[in-house]
Amino acid sequence: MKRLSAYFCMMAILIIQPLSAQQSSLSSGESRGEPTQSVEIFEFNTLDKQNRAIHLARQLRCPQCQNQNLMESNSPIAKDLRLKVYVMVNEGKTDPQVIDFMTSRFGDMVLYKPKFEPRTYVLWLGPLLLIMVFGWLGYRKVKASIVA
Amino acid sequence: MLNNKFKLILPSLLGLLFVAVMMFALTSQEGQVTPSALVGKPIPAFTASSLSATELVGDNELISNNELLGNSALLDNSIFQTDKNYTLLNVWASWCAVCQSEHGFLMKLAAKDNMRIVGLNYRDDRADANRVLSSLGNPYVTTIFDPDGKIALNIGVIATPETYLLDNKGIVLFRYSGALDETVWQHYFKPFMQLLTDK
Repeated sequence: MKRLSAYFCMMAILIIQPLSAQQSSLSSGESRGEPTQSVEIFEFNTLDKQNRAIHLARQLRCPQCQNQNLMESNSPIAKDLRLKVYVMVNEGKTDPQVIDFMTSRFGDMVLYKPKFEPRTYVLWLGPLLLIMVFGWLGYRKVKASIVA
Repeated sequence: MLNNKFKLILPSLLGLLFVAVMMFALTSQEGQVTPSALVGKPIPAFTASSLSATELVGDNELISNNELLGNSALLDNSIFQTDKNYTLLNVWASWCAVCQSEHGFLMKLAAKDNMRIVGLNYRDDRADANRVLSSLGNPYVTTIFDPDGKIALNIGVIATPETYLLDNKGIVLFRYSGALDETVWQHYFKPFMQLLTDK
C-alpha cells in the first residue's frame, strides 16, 4: 500500500513538472513592442460558420512558422490571419474566396495541398507514373522467368 | 559484358544525378524565402497615417504619441506614383534588431544612390519608431505607420525586414526577405534596375 501511494506521488510530480516549466517559458516569451494576447474571443453569426472557419484555418499554413497551421501557431501574423479568416467567413465569403485571398497575398505555399495545375503535374502525376513503370517492369520480369 | 556492367551502375548514376539536382534546387533559393505573390501586381489599396517627420522629434525624447499623431499626414497608394523609375518599400520596426543592421545601408542608398525609399513601420510604437529615426537617421521619403500590421498583412509581409522593389506605377517587381547589404543589392536588385534604365 505504501509503495503504491509513493508511486502515485512520483507520477504526480512527473506530470506537474513539465506543466510548470511550460508556464514559465510562456510568461518570459513576451517581447517588447509586440503586445501578445493569449485569449481570443470571436463571435460567429452561426455555428455552421464557426465550424467552417476553424476547419479553414486548420487547412492553411502559417507563412512565418511553416510547420504549423493558422490554428496551431502563436505568431502575431498567424493570429491576424486567423482573425482575417474568421471575419471573411462571418461576412459570408465562401471557402474558395478565402483561400484565393490567402494565396493572392502569401502565395501557394499557404496551401498544404498544392493545386492541380500545369506547374504541379509532375508532383501529382509523378508517383502514379513511377508505379506504372515499376508495375510494367515487374510484369515483364515475372513473365520472362515463367517462360524460362 | 560491358553492357551488363553498365546496367549495374546505371541505378546508382541515376540516384546520384537526382541528389545533385535536388542539392542544386535547394541551394539556389538561398537568401530569398519565397517570391512574393504580389510580383507583377500593384501594392493593395490602403490608407494610413504617416510616422511623424524627424525634424518634429529632434532631440526631444519625451514627445508623446498624441503630439506625433497631430503632425502626421494621411497616406495612400499615390505615394508610389512617382517620376522616379523605382521606389523601395522597406518594412521595418524599432524592435527588430536585423532592421537596425541594414539601416546604415539604407542611409547610403538614399544619400549616395539617390534611391527613393518608402518605409513601412510594422507593429510598432510611434514614439519608439521616431526615436530610432532620430538617432540613426531617416532614409525614408515617408513612412507608413502600421501599428496593427493590417497593411503589411494585405501586402503579404512574412517577417521584418522585407524590401519590395516597385516601379514608377507602384507595381511590385521583386521582394527580398532579410537585411540588405551591398552584396544582396548587387545580386538581386541591380539586375532589375538595369532592365528599367535600358528601356
